[in-house]
Amino acid sequence: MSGVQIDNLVKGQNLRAVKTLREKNYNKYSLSAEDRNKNHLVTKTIEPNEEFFSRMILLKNYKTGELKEVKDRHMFVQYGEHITYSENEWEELLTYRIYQGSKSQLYTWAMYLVPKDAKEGERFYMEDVIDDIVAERFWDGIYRAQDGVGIWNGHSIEIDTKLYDRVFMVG
Amino acid sequence: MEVKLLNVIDKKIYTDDGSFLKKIECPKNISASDLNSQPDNKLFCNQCEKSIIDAQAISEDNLVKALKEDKNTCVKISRLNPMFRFVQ
Repeated sequence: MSGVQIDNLVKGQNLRAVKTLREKNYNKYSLSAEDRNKNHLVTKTIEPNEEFFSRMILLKNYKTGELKEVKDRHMFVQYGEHITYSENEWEELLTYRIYQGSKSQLYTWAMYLVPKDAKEGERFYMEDVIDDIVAERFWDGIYRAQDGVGIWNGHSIEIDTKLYDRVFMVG
Repeated sequence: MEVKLLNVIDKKIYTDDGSFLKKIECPKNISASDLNSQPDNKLFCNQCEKSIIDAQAISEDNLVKALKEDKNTCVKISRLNPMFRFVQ
């Protein structure tokens, strides 16, 4: 599952790592008695995040019959500045929504294995963030956080979303 | 079209021939919520109340030109932008 990784940003902080177990990888051997005894099993269902939905348009060229899937009739193109699909040349066949998060994982479950000796407020390196969290928007893409830092609040893990602000630089 | 990479080394941006362009460092340590999109593909920084260049909406040549003209121009760059090579 691809996404934005921030491991370089937290290297050197000596955070303990929290493992994730996903339904797709689960079998009767994947969680040992030791895993169960030594960890809080923070279990979640994976629901879609509205921020990962994008509207798409399916266009058909009147002359050539070519089909194009675009986000807008006016789009930025990397080295060619802008491109326009005019209403005179392109017929709108339909609009639809796509999900740019981890679509194949939706409505499955996953769990974090958080050490039972975790102290409230302790920060952990999360190797595989369960929820779809927006780490960066770039061109027309929405990129989810692949890893991150989670804070133990005594009963669950809260992902430190401020860290993803450092995926970009300003100055 | 030939893609000219810009190198980012220790927050400093260099052209592919090694010329220094600017140091990218925000003293106000802004976050994404401080930036609002503007119709001309620029971003408006609420902290400094000025427009900044969004590098995802400009060509390398135009970015280099803008930074050479004014090193105080602020720019937002993403680590996902293939225009930049981030050197650790």
